[in-house]
Amino acid sequence: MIALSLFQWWYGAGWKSAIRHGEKRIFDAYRLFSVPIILRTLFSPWRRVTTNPGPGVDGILRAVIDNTVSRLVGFLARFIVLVTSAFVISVASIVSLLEIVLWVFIPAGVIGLFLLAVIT
Amino acid sequence: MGVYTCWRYRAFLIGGDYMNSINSNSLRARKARLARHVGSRGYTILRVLYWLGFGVTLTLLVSGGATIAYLLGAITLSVWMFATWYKRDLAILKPNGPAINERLSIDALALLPKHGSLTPRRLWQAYLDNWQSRFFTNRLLLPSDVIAELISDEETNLPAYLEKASAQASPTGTIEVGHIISALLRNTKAISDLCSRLNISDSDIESIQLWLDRIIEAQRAEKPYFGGIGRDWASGFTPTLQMFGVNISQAIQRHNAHFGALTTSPGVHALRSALTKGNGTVALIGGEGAGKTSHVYALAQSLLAEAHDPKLRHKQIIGLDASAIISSAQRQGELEHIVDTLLQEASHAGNIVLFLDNADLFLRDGNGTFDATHLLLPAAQSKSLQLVLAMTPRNLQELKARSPSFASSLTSVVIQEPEPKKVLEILQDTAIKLEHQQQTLITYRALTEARTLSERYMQDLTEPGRSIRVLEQALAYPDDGIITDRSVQQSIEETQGVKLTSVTEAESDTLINLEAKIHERMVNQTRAVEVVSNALRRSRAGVANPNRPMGSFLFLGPTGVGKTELAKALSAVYFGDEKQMIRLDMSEYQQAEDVHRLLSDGTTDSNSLIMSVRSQPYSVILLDEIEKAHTNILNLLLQLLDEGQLSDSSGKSASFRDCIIITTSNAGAQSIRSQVEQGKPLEEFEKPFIDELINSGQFKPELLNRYDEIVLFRPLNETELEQVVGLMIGDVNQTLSQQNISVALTPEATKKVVHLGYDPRLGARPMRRMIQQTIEDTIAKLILKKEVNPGDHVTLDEDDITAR
Repeated sequence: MIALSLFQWWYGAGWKSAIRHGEKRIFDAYRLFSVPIILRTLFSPWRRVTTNPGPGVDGILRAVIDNTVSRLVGFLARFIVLVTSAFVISVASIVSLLEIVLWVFIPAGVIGLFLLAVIT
Repeated sequence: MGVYTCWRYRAFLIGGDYMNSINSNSLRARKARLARHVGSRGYTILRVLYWLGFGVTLTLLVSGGATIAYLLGAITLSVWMFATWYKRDLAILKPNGPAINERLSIDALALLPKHGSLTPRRLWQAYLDNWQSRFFTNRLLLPSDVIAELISDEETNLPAYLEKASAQASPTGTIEVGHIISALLRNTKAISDLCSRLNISDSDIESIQLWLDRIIEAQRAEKPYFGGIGRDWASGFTPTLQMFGVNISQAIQRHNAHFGALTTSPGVHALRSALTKGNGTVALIGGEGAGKTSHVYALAQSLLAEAHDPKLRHKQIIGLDASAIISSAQRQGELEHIVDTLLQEASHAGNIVLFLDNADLFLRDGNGTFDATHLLLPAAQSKSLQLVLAMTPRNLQELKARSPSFASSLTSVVIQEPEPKKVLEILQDTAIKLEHQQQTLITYRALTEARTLSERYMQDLTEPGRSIRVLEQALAYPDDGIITDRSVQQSIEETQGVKLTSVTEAESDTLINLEAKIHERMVNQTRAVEVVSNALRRSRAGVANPNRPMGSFLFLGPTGVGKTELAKALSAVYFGDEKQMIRLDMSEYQQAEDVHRLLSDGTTDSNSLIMSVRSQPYSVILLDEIEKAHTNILNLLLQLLDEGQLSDSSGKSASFRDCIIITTSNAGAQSIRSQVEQGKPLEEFEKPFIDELINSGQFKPELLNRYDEIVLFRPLNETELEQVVGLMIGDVNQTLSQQNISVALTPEATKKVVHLGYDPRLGARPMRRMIQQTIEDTIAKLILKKEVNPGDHVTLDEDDITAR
């Protein structure tokens, strides 16, 4: 009775839950890496470390260099995170997709593996 | 909606029995039992098993052990399937239709007896050990076994209870064990009668049900999203702020703190709105205990979790520690530099809302304070900083007087004192935290008692802080290991010096024999003694109006008849000590401005009436010669007698509801004396005498009407004065007992003392002096001459009594 109930769920609400969990897995990865914030501030100075222009050309030049370096550091850090997040989101998507697609075959897979064990 | 319609159609087809019945052998019930068997620990084991299984299977496949790998793979996959089923279906067991059986929670289904008929009593017994059931019985101190006997054992009665339980849950929501327990308690007549005897009302049970619902909701709430790893990368470094501030948002995130309904309260909403719409500088106004800090914590949680508004999205609230900042400054100007740096850092970081708790410390110069308004004002005007300053209404008024420009730049958010129902909810949430910290149990009655008593005895604080304070104090007085209403009463008794716990046998004896005990100290005046004793008995028995003083009396009569003595005797006999009496000579309050002296909050006069009653709320208050007080003071007395409280010069209330107010007056003394000399009984001329006092303008009728009793004291005759002498000799013997010497007077000697000291105008007053001159002086000489030694008893006769 209970086993039947498991299969009933597996091919009904269970499959829907697999889709829902897949979506959530991707969304969680997306949120973990703060993707919207990082995209919005991709070229912002790192932790707002900036230099105000000093007097004369030297001062202005120093500020330009400092601020450019800060933005570059910010961009690099965020870019690395973006690349990492893209990888993790991709993996999450593949796992989710596989789960959704293979979901329906898993019970059969269990039986198949038992049979294989018996045959071999 | 479509699914729901389908449920309704199914219910229509199957009929009412299906809707209100429970089937302990249904598939859903079996799933619930399975889910309960597995539990969260079982699920963890399953996870470990399938991860290990996958690992070993892969290893075996690579190393060539195919047969075992296939077998292990099949088992592992089966375990994974089961674990997934458990996690996504069994452990949740969502409602599956409107019928009762399809809406019962896992516990409610899993605990059902598998065999036999299902009756309300069997249901109660099945759920007895469930935490939700214990939540009711422990909080209300209900005897579970007695309750079981009172619940119907008829199967036919069950649907009605289930229907009630269903109505308590949301229309298609899960029916918890708590809903069923609540329905059983609230809808059984015999239990209602028992609860009534235990002073538990239907609304109490309902309140506990709602409390339980909130706990279950919090347990099932999803973990909020706080912004991810890159949240703070676009904000500046804040090294100084980290040194002198407390990152409230970080603390909430780390401890996953939950502020429940407060995050969506009007106060937090107003705070959020003020931070975004104004210049970003907010004065959070509320009395002490109003929950200003809690509001800011709830705001921090809401900003972390929601933050719809871009101006507040992912903002962190940092509280500044005034004492740390002030104590760190070594040199002149350093303090200013630190505060300036903190403000600049917060402004530059871009993701900070600064919180100045007890902002008064930052807004005025003094010991342990620093006036930073000249630094805060530019920040407020430039809108470069979001700032919350918590202060009391009085602080704001002072700020307006001191620094009007800064005060006008603030957007005020006033925290309203919550309704009693809301206070109880806050207390319930607090109780859970306190129980966790102290490893104890707090009953529901303790919470209601804390709310009621705090309102009466902690009027200088605001709700909900004052109720929480009382509850916290009560933790030190556990009653059989739990915190009960008695613990709350005991803590109030200890801290406020009042009597709240039920009357002990000894106290009961004192109260019943109060007249006799008072008469051990004073002679006659039976009516006065009786009315005062009755007032005290009414108060302790809980019959008197709790919103007025325990008793209020006007004693009228000539001098030396025992008016003051009665107040003293009452104080000594019942309140434990003569010193438990607050005595004011009203002839010292004859000017209009003397009102301030009476109502001083302690800043100008620490011995004011208000301050005295605050330090000694359970006492006799004796206001001598009331007729000499200024009219303004008499008007104040009207309020005192009416409401049982007065407000001090700073507006804080002081309760007189645990006091006996005795006012005395010599007004009309001559009239009383002449009437008594004519042989008229007091009762006969009492009414016309009081009318005369009103008509002659000595007392206003509205004042006289507010007293519980107006008592006339009659002059003492010589026989009564002899008794007074007897009492005074008792006092002398009390003093001499230290030297083991005693003294007695023969009846003739007593008569002579009275004769020598008798003055009808002064009553018993000259007797004290006469005792001193005739007895004490004589004994003193005898002691000095060594004619009386320790262990001696001296009897003085008529001849020994000589007046100077």
